Amino acid sequence: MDTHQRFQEDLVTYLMGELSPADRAALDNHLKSCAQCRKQLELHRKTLSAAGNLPEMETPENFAQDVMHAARAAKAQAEQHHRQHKLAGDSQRSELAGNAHFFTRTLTYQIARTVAYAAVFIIALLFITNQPTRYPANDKRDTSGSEPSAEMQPMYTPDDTVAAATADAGQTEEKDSIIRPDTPYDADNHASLTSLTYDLPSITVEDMEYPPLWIPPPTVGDIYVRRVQSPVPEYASRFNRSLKRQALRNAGMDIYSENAVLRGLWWLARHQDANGKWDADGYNKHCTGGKPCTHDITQPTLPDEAVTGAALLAMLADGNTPATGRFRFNVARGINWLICRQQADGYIGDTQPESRENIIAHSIAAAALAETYGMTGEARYKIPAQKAINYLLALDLPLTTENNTLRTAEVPAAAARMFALNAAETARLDIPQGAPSEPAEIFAAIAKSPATAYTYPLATGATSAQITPGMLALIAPAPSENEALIHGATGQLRSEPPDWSHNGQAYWLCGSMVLKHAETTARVQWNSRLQDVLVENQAKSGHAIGSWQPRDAESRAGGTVFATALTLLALETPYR
Amino acid sequence: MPTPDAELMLEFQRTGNEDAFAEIVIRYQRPLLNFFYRLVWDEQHAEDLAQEVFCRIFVHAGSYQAKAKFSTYLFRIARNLWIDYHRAQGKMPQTASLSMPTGIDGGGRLLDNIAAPEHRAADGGQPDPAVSVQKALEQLPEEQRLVFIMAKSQGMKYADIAETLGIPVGTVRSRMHAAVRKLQALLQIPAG
Repeated sequence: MDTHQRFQEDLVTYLMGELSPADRAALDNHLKSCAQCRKQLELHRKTLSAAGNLPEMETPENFAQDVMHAARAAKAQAEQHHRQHKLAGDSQRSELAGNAHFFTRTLTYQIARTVAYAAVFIIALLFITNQPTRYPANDKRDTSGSEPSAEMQPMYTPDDTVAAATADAGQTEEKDSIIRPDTPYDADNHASLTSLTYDLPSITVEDMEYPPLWIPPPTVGDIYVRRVQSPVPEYASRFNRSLKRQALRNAGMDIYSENAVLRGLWWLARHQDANGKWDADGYNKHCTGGKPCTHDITQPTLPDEAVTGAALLAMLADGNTPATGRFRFNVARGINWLICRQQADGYIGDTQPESRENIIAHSIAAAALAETYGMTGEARYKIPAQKAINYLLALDLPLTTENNTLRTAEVPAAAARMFALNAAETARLDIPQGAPSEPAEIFAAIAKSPATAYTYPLATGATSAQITPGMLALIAPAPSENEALIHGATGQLRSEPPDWSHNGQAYWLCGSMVLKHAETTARVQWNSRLQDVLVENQAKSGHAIGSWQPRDAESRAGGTVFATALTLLALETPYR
Repeated sequence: MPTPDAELMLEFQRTGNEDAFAEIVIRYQRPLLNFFYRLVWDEQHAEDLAQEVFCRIFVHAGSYQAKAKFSTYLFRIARNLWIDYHRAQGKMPQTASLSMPTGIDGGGRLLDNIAAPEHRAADGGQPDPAVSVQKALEQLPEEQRLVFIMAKSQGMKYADIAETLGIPVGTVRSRMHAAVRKLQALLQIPAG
């Protein structure tokens, strides 16, 4: 390297004030005689000046307190983990030592050891030679042993679309779960619509025109992302850490609940399909690496729209939107999928809702769309959300002809509709007075329904599963007007606190929602108990870390993903 | 004269005095938050990462040894956390590349269409210079970006950066030089 080149390389160091005095003097001398270096120095100076003025973030109020709070909790957790680990290790070692003492004395030990080594070798050999061919990602093989029935098959998956596209093009390349940019768009086929994550043309629905369905979320480092302030004040505590923690403290919860929520959301994020949906019965396909999640004992009956909607609600409640928050990628893809599933009349799903499950699924998905609109205030979410809500409003209540009351079996679906309409009201969507299904009408219909299966008002002796939809109905219209009813429900809830063996997710969620409006003592008792139960029973090993198993009929209907989402919503209720 | 950082840390280590640790948090919250902020450009992520650094130091205080400056120790943890985070982000499924065409109104790249509204010029003309610098910084190789942010934004000395990153001072110099050259090209700094 010649002297000139060496000086050129020192120019930045010179400007940063990092040259030794001797080197600095030498460079000063060189600069006097070298016009090229002087020009280069000026260029570097300009660059450093231009690139040095970066925006600063302000230190959030109470950041130091929050850090200390989190640090204490992290230390407590680390110590607990260490103790458990040590205890498990000690007991294992002592057991092994006892066995070995007896066993090594016998000749049998020598023989058994040889046989065991041989067996391990043979099993390993068999395992290696019989490794099945790796199934492509879209294989519908049910690893639990039974083939899923035809009606449980999702109509399509992104991989099917990719397969179709590659087959059409005469290609034989291997399928994967990555969405291809060259997948053709077919307006008649929703499958291709779902598989595309960008470059979607507008689609006309009746007289309303959708904006482009997919505007990609910002990625880390691509653009400057600001934390949003929701236009709706009810969502303020979702975005503000201090408000969120204040709400948790008031509810009798603390950092353990926050950590459990974070782990649960990560579990959801790990089990989302590439096209944005959560697969009620096929989420296990994401269990690569580590011990896979356990299969649900019963086949979920709720459609994927319900499961996806619930998972999205859980993420939205934690302050994530399609553009902001830790899980913004997941929310953006999930909402995109729901919008793509929407039919011309606003219904979200494959077919028209003939069953209660479909109405529940549509309601949950509609609530997710409504909250997305409420939290972002963006018009592109308003149209699908409003159409989904309009669809619910236009539905007639399934009243009996004899006494014009709601059939008891219809109560859960009606309650889910009211849940969605309540979310829509909060999000400032339009709910015209006098619509067939406006919240007050549903509330009245549920109130008049015979208290045989679902008890309303809450009757003494009713099981948690029976009173759950009644409670949901109770909180939906106007909690302030229902003080007496909430007081009654509080007594019922206090007599049956959260318990892993005796009640389940839907009960916990509805109970938390009712008690949000109840007096402090009952609320704190319920929530602190709920937190203990849920933190203790959250999966702590394998791929299932962060999930919860379904504990009641309502959550079993949607499987582990649904159960985990409902549990998260229960924990998030104080700041939802 | 304020108590040196290392002494505060050693006091926390010996006596468990949380006030000493809280003092450290107050001293370093701003530089640490801005260190992460300039890497992720997201306040919430920056807060989470900074909090995680302090939590790690708090939990593993017993292993602290006052061999180097405390700030070096802290930023070494921050750098390790950033690398973990960056790798985890890299594994996330990418839905679209920003350099791909948008397909909206028949042209343009995604990158050009999604600048935050507050940084768009009102007349739709030149973008905000701060955004240009951010975009340029994102295009630097990771090791150059870290050195540049530490030296220029955090005001760290080359020797401290070298110790934090575990590399020779000469490497810091060459990475800084390369970063400035690349930024010059990306920002299209006019000569003269």
